[in-house]
Amino acid sequence: MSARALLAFGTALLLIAGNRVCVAQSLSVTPASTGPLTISSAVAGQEPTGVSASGGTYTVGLKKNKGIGTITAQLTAPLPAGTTLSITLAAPGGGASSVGPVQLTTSPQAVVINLPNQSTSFFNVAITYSFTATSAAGALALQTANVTLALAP
Amino acid sequence: MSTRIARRSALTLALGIIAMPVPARSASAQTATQSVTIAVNAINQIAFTGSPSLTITTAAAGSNPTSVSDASATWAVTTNQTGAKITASIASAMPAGVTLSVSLAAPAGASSAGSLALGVTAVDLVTGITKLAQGGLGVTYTLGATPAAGVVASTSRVVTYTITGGT
Repeated sequence: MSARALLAFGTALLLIAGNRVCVAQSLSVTPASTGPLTISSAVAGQEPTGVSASGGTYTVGLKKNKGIGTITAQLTAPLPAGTTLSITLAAPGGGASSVGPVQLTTSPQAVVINLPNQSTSFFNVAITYSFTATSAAGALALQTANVTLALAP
Repeated sequence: MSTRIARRSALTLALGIIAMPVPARSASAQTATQSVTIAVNAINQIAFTGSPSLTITTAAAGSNPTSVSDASATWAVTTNQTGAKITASIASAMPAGVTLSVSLAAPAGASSAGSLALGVTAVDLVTGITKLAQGGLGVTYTLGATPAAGVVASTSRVVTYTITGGT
């Protein structure tokens, strides 16, 4: 086998490997940062009024027989005491379902289930966040909560 | 000889390419991270319900006219600060010899000053209100009059309550 043939063989293997990577599932979120969600009012005698806002969109690419059926969400660090952050991912289609508002913790929780077992993509599906705080939480300066979405079986 | 070396190099290169770790695109692409900015501003809210009416009509002989009280009003508070207080005042002074007093029940952990006469200068009614949301708290108004006040035609006063935030 000539040197040129060996190079071609190696390149071909690399391309095959590359293609294998390219067909894997994907998940992305836009924008990378969202907010601020600011609580600033209350009805006297009741806890401060929570706020909700769009969190942008997500795009998911799926491949058949990859065993992916769920999108999970979690925080990378706990929130301040007395506050909660909930996320809602709209159902992307294809028979998938949104779990509805999910109060985020540092453990992954399903937010979308029954993703279709087919090679398809869903683009720009809505994300919504809700933020609550008790009076005991006090006033909190601007801070960032990092949310990780993941594809899971 | 040179051909053999070239073949070995090419083979090594090819195997090297094959053995090169594939970037973790598939793994990283299956997660996505978003930063959410959150904040809570200082909140101090109070509300009062009720429009009490008080009329003095009797006296025990030899004593001042008998004062009357009304406890039908309530108040509520929400604060996410420490050490907030409630003050109260009226826009115009009461007629001479007539006193309107008010007492607010204290929410949990706070202190009530008890019944205090209202005037155009604000008085502290409840202090030490810290990070709570509580409603249905009692408000008691008391109207007193001396004989020197005489007969006073019906009049009204708007009581202004103010919550001053703590820290």
